[in-house]
Amino acid sequence: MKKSIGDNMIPKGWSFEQGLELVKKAGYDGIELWLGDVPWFQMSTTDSEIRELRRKVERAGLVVSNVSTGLHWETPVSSRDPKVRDRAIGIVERQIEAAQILGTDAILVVVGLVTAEVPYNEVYQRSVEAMQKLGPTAGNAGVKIGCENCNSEQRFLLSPREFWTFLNDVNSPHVGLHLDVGNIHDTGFAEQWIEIHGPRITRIHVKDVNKQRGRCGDQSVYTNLFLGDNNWPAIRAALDKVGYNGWLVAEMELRYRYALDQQFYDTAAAMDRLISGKL
Amino acid sequence: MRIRVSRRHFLSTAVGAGAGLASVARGRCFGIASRSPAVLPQGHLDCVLVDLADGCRLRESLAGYEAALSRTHCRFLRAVPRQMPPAPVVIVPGCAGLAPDVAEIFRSSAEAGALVLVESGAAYAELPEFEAHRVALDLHFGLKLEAPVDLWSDGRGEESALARHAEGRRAEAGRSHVPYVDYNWPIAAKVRDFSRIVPLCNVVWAALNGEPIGWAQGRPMAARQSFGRGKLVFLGSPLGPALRYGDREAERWLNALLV
Repeated sequence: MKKSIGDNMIPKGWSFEQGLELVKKAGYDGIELWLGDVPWFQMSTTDSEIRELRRKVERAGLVVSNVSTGLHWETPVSSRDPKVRDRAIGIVERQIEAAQILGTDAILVVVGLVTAEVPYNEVYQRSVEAMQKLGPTAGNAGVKIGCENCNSEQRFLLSPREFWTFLNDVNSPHVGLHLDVGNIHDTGFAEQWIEIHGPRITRIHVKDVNKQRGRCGDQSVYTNLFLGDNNWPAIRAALDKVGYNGWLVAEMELRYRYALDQQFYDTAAAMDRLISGKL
Repeated sequence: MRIRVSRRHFLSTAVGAGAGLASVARGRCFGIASRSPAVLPQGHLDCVLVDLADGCRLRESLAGYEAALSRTHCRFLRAVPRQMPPAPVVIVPGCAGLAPDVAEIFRSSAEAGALVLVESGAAYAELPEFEAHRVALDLHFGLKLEAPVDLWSDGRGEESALARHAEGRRAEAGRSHVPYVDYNWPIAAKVRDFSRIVPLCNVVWAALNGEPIGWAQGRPMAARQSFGRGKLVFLGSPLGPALRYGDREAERWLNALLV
């Protein structure tokens, strides 16, 4: 397995180049690029500018592990407004194009958003239709769409079997699961998600979670690896069992208050322990 | 029941197309939008589902009506307005753009005895298109529309979901919005809202030969109005999506309208 971390973790005020240097120095193999979340990679970023990002990544001795985005929280494919849905599809298409240019084969999509306003049945069907539409586009580009399990925040596809049914309904070999082992909270167990989805997993986000805390105000449920309630030996065993040998991508919500670069080193060391299996 | 007979009588006498035709299966769509009446399958139609093409702002509403009609015993045809055959019920989903000649087709259908259901999708249109929609409905049907209202503008929609995500706030805090539209005709029904409505102005309904039949958050947004031998039903809150996503009350309401 290989280690990666998101460019949205690069401390504010740092340049992309400075961030890449830190990521390499901390021991990562690659970097996850977040469309729309960082100044150097926006929807307005041109193809040639994306090619330049790739050159910078490669000059730093890294590769791009995958292309993610948080834009679908604001512009979901499950919106009631057709204009918003069109924009959401456009974001995924741009992710696919960018992935091709950046030389990676996976993107992350937050596929639907259940709210008090937009109920589950609507979100489900629109999400299936959107992924059915995008699957062939991804396939033609040699890219896989990984739908992320943002269980609590999306209030959508809350169990691994539900997610399995969703992927069956989409019915595309180019659409799978971008698993976040920290997002499952107390609605289940990451190791069971890994076992059930196995080869459908495109990438894995790693972070730990305090299952008993719950969101309240600005308090986060997420924490650094091995500090929370995830059963990491079971997760590691499940990865072995399904033969997952792909990217582990660090996604830490809680940031260090001081010595911001230290989190990169600490997280990389924890990921090494996870990969080694010495837990 | 009397309405149904009356509409069928209209159908059989107004135009030869529906008369003396072979029996056909119910719950079946007979056409595609571009097919002309001359090549329609021979059979009695209960309903025409109008595809306004670019004038339909909510394609999923059209799909919702089509799916719901397919589940009934109704024999229906999907057609473009300028080629629609006569039928006792005419449904116009997601209407935003409404050319004058098309509006006249709908008005003539109502005057000839049809029930014409115009569902507004203009709350999802850009402002100039909405304004044209408002003028057209006033000019051709005497309906006075207010500007669209976002029922979820108190900040509990998608945008606020993002904010909650970013802020880590609990989604359930302080929720009070009741997400339903209430109808009292043709049956009482409670149907999920579709975020935005086009409310009707307060008018002297008796002077318009009509009355409101639906409300959202206390605002009238649906009405029926008599025209000649038929009537116009206006919905300012899209019903088609609710039909598509399994709202049983919406389906019951439509079925009652078709009888």
